Amino acid sequence: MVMPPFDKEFFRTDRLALEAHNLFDLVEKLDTLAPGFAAIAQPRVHFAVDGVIETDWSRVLSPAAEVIVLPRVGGG
Amino acid sequence: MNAPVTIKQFRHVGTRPVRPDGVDKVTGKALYGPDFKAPGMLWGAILRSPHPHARIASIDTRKAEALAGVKAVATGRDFPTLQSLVMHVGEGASDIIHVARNCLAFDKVLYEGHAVAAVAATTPEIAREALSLIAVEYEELPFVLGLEEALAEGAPLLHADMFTKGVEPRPEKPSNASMRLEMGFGDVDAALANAAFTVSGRYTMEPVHQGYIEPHACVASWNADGQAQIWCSTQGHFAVRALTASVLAIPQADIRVMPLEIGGGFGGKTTVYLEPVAMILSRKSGRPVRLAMTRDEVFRASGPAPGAIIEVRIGADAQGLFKAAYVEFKYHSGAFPAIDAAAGVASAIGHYRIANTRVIGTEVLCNRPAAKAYRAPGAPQVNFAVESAIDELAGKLGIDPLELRLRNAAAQGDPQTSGVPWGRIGWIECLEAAKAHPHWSAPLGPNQGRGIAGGYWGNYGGPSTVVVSLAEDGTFTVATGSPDIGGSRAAMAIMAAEVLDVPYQQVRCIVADTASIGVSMVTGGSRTTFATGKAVVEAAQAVRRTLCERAARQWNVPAGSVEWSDGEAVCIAGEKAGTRATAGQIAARASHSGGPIAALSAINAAGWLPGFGAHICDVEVDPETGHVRIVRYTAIQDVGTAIHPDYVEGQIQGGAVQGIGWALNEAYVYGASGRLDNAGFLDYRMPVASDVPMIDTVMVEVPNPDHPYGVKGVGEVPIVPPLAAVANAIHGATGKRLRDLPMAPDRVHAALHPQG
Repeated sequence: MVMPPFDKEFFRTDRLALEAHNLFDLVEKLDTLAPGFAAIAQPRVHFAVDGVIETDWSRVLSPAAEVIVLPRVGGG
Repeated sequence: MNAPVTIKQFRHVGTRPVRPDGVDKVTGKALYGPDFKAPGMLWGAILRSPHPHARIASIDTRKAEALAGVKAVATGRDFPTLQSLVMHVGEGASDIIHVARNCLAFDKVLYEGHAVAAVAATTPEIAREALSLIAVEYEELPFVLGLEEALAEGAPLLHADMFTKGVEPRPEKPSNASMRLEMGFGDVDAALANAAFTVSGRYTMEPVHQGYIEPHACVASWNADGQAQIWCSTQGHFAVRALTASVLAIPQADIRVMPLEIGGGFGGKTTVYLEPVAMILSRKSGRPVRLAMTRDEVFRASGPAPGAIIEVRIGADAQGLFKAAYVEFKYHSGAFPAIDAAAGVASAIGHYRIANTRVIGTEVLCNRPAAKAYRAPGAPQVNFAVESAIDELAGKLGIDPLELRLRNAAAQGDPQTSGVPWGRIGWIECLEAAKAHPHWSAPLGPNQGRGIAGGYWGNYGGPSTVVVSLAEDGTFTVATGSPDIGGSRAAMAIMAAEVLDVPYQQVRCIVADTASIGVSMVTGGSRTTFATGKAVVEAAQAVRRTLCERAARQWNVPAGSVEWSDGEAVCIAGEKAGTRATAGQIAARASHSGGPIAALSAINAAGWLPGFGAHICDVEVDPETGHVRIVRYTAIQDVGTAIHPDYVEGQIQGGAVQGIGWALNEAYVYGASGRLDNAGFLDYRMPVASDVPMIDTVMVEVPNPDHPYGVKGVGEVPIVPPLAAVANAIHGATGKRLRDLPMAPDRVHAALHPQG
């Protein structure tokens, strides 16, 4: 699931079905669909995998994993 | 003060030892940003734009350069040509071109106070005189300050290459809206139409400043061999290194940043304004250069929290169950794209279980200083509107406002606005604690009213590096890369002492510079006690394991037969069972049993959880003057586990007072010329000690299962609820719903006396 603003900014859809080994792999595949996404993924994106924010992009994704692409929020 | 509600099972966690940096700070020995001096140092000064929007036709620096004592002059053209690069440094993503342009304007000035040129001279007086000799030819442009004005057709455009992100179809024309986000689920319109009760309202506020007492200051020394040192006050010296290196297009390892003590940051010291400029001046002059902002410059040129316009509609059934919520807001970004809208969307309404929710946020560029993080950036503004509306809804429903919140409060497993489910949050526990608190049922006096509001902040984890090392006498040093802005040295020492089971005084904590420790994210996002604390625990555990291994080698017993107990290695099996050795005894023989003992932990801490708070506020309103006095204030917060309760309480009290100031007094005031009219603490009215009662705190402890001691971030949550808590209390006292901040006496008086 691709949350705003990335759905409209890059993909023109809020749902995609992709096979990816891990989140690095997913970023590459998303960048293929929307060139430029990989360049902003690290500074602007958080991924939630099956409902939990995942900071280790090398962790293997299960075939049925649901990934939410979220704006990265820091703090003050 | 109220003690944490759970009983501690720890030796050190939850105790209140004296802070290790306290003596230096109360005796004036601590070195803050403006205190630092280097041998041969020059004094820098910055020329700033008097216009809110203008094209720079020319800058003539020849007279300034010719002035005796002037050693260097810099303009934006001294920065290298940069390619667009979006970096997450500090608190959010920024394009490095915008960071550079904010440090020194290139072809346009975008706000009054925008830096245009800089000088370095042998005295501050000469530096200031040199500024007066720089001739800048401006072509003034129309400017825009207001949110709706900036979005109107034909509004002055700040950036010709700014196309709104997050809208479809992709815009063909540039705009002052840099980004639009829309999140939610369900059919909001239908649910609102079918709701038994609805409320709606439009809420507004101007930008407010973090109000840190210590201004931005740095000294930079850039040597001919390319290596440089920067001493500065910052929430993140690694961020200073990364941003400065990127703006100057030089290797990060060529810059060593030494963090000085920090006199307040609250999110505002997570970027660079001065460091790249001081570096340029140092390179040109061949000497260290100091730059420090005056208070006036801090107000005009550093980043405030955005002002806002927020529209809210909430509907409920007759039983008081929320059925739908629609929230749409616009935030000031100032001169460059900011970061607050995403946080505002995430922080708006997710604390309630509502099947139909839509939250829309827009970042709006205007001719004001570029907005920067301020304690829970983006959350207090939207929370003010939502929690005021819920108070209004409680009145319509005839339900106690605390009970209404309890009835609808989100719990673990409920979806946030993004759809991601909440983890182990303590929101309901906070509301229950508020309900049980004597404040909630205490009688009120004449002209007094009581308000309640709740709110949350997502908190953060992120990268932290820690080294725990053992000295030859058995004492420990914890080195972190996290500047101490709220007592974190004490918290880190407590956690290390807990792991090592040694006295707190046996552990000292330092903040290491960028060349002495690995990368660590800024101290911000309420992340440090959680994330750096995790790294401290990991490193201390590794040292503890090494101590056991060394003791085994020194005793010539199997490693598995030694355990760490009560601060000592203990042999638990074999002929030497019962033999004990302290860390000092092991350290004394360490060189001959494997060498020095130290451990490093470098992590990207995951598993952070948000914090929730509920604030109760009593006010007394003077019907003749409109003055609002805070009579009593209680802040209840889920803190996970309080490592050092004094500092947790301090964070809660500080955040509450900043929120009270935001509610009652603080606002940027601009004149018709587009210039700031209140750039000083005399006219920008922040609360002082005599303005507020003792803020009572209640620490609710719902531990975070993903932290060894249950830590959740605490620093930002407490600024979220006060705006609405105060507004709801004023409504309780007067029957008037104030929707525009600040609720200063003139505004309250006007509400009470609409006929004048």
